[in-house]
Amino acid sequence: MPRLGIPFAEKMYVWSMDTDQSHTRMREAQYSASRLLSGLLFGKLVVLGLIALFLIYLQGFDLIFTLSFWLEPSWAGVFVYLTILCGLGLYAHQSQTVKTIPAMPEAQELLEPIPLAQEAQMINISDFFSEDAKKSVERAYDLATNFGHAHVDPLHLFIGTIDTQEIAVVFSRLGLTFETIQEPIGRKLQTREFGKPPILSESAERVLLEAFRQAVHEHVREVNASELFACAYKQDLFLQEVFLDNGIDTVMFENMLEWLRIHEKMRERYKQFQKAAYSKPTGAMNRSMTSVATPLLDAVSEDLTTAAVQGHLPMLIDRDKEIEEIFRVIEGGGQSVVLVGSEGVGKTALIAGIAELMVQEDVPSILQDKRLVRISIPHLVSGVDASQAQDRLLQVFYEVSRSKNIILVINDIDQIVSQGSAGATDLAATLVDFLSRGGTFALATTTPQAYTALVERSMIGRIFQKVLISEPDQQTAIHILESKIGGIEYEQNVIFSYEAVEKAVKLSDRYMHETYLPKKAIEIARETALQVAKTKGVDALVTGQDIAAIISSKTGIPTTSVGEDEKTKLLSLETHMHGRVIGQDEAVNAIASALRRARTELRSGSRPIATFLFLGPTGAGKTELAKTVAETYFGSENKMIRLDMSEYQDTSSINRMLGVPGSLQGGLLTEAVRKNPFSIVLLDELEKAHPDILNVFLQVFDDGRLTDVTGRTIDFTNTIIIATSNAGTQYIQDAVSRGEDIAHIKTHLIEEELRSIYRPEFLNRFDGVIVFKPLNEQDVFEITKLFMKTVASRLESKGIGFRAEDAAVVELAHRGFDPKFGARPLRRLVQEEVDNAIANALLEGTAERRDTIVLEPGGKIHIEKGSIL
Amino acid sequence: MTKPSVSLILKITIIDALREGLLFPFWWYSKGLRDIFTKLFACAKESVSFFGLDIWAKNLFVPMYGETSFTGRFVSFLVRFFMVIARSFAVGLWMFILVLIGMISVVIVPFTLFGFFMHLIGMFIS
Repeated sequence: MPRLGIPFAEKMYVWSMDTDQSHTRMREAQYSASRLLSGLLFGKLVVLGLIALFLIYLQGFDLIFTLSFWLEPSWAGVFVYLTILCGLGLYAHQSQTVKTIPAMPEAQELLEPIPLAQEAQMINISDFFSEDAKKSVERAYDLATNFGHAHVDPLHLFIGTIDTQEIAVVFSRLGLTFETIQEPIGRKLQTREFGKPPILSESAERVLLEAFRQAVHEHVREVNASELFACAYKQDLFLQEVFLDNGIDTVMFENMLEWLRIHEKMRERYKQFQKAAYSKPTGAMNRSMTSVATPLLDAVSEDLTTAAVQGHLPMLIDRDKEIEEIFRVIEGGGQSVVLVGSEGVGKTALIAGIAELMVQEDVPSILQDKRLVRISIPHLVSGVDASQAQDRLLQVFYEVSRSKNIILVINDIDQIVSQGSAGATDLAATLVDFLSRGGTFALATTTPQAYTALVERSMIGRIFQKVLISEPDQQTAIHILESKIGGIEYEQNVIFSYEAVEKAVKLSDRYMHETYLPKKAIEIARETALQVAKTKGVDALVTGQDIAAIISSKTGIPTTSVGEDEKTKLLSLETHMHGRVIGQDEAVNAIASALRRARTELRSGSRPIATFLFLGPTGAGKTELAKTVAETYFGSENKMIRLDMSEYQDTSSINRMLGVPGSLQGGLLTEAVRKNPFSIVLLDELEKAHPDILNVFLQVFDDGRLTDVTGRTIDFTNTIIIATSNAGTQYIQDAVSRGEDIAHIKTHLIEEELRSIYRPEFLNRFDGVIVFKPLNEQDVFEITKLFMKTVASRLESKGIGFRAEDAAVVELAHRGFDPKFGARPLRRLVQEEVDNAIANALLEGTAERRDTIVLEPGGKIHIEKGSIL
Repeated sequence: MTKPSVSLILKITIIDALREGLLFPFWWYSKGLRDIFTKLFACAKESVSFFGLDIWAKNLFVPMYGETSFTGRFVSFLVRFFMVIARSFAVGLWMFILVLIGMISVVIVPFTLFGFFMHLIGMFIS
């Protein structure tokens, strides 16, 4: 007896199908018997028909047109009547056994299942279940019986669906096999309560009712195994945990099932569309024959309704709201509409969708029995001057107004007004005049920038009503891409995993900011499919890694998962950096940790990877550390975008950074980051910049983006921003010499010394303010050794060795040490003493290949001769 | 999955065959005919738009091919008038065929049974 039900229209929808083993066996037997009977009846029909034909043949075929054949007894007559009876019997059998799916309740949303209380007319929802779904329930019972379980639970239902073809598709797209989840499920099955015979638990009954409810909500014809699978998953937290262990969360799971639904809906729509397309004319003539031939229009345009009938246009997914708005404007007053949206957000797809709806005549009456024709402005103006182009347009409009069945589509309507020349103005005026006289109406497209700059305040802007087409969100974009994947798979002979689809949308949305969803995701998917087909061969699986690799190659940002080599490198970043930077452990550790966080995605996606302010005296290694990070992790020192802030001392210098107003080029900073989004930005000597310039960075530090003068938003979320400053140097040196604690120094610096230079809100936005300690003699000694290594590596290319005696190194370190200027004097000293002496030796020819130059105390060198060949 | 035995399948097949055979006339004059008439009715309903009769009738006074002159309008009206008649005739013919199928459906069972037994008995008597 059912315990739960869904009330709707004074009826109660319940699950009341007997699914125990004996009923299942009986249903199977009935199904087989029905098929056997159909076969027997068909066989009988064929045999009897052949006998009847043979007997008629013997008597002559002319005879069947005589009354005597039908009335006078003959064996031929016996068999003819028997054949007809047999045919009627077969028809009756098929009509009785072929299941007719009852129509789903007409409702947007059904109420949640409630306990059965009062008497109401019961409707068994199993009638709405597909054969696959019913068999899944039977398998669930079977499983519970075989295990001796007391109840059939959502887990049993879930396992019951796994054998169906659609769920096999779900598993393969998710990159799973049943074996991967078999073990925990097996363990869970062992913990069930035992008892005989198994009965349907209340939670399982809820799953069945929820599956029905979901099917009604989705407007599908019957409840499929996938609905059952999804509802069992939603009902059972254990199953959600099992999938989560395999990297599949509820959103991914839901999107994967949506993929199945989209596929099913597209198939259904295609069938309906084909039927409707049969009666839609494809030429210039409409069904009522009121239109006229339009030869000139045909030469400069494309008939979108014809293209839709021929199946050349893509199907529209998830854009009901926009379509509704467009129709509302059109119906409101037959007004022309301009779709304003960025490149790639789906304006053309929307127009294609309208063309398809026109084929099905599922449009407002003003659009019925009409054709949608896209005028090509380049075709219209090619090879003629402005006045001739205007003349052509007038003729086209004449044809349109006479034909009366044409709705115009003008892509990029800003083309008509963009040149600002007299000719363009004439075209715009001609169009406005034609449309305002009610010749027809038009659907146009343009971008937001072009609309603001050219259309809005022009005469065209007055006659077109704006409908904003915004970029779809990630979920919608995933659904749109899912609808396109079938075509891409067919073209390239590859198979997409769900992860690949999701990554194409999410990574392109995150890292490619100059194009828009869904187009950029579709293009990435297409490109990856081609690449995978070439490298992995036919029927290869396109994975998330393949998508990430393509996005990395396009943007230069590492998006693939961390490999073994990179893992080792990341874990030993500090060691690598200390190869070039001596001391300054706090700064090195902070940078290394930030890079590790960034690479393992444990950071905010809407801010730069890290922002640091390095404070300290000159020559302490601030810039050197930035260069080291650029070399060790970003690949090269060139990956560092360096801005000497001393060049930005007045407010007007902001134009150099963001671009000159009115120009089409971005600024030094914005262009550099746009071209290399994965890089280090070094703001050297920050205290020298004008305070207003620093305000620009408030937004960068907070939101990870900056808009240049051309209106482009530049993404800073993949940059590390390091600002260096000498502010408070004197205090640092004094405090260090007094032996004060570095944490105390930092606090005092921020609270006192820097207050007059940087505003508190600016300092607060840095992830870390790091104080570089002045170098001591020991540090300078270590740095001297590094310099000696650099000299040796420079000579290595000439085949000459180099060695510095310990005493020489100590002497150089001692002479090069200056507490005020850090390692800078040392660099000069090495240049003056060591490099000069080596240069002289090379010029005099005293040092040759295989020789070793030895540096001695006092800046002297001697040559150790190498072996002679 | 639990598989049914062959004997069970055969038993059900025989029972179903007998049941369907015996109940066939009752089924035919209840649900069978109702299904057939539903299909015929849907077919008839579609025929008007299939032959475009509704569109032609609605545009009876609308000039064809954009010819808005008096002659154009007059010729258009004449052509449309005859087209409406021709299409009505086509729809009528189609309706007639559907009605014929409906009538045959009503009488086919007794007619076939009568014919079969008449021929069979006749052959045995002769």
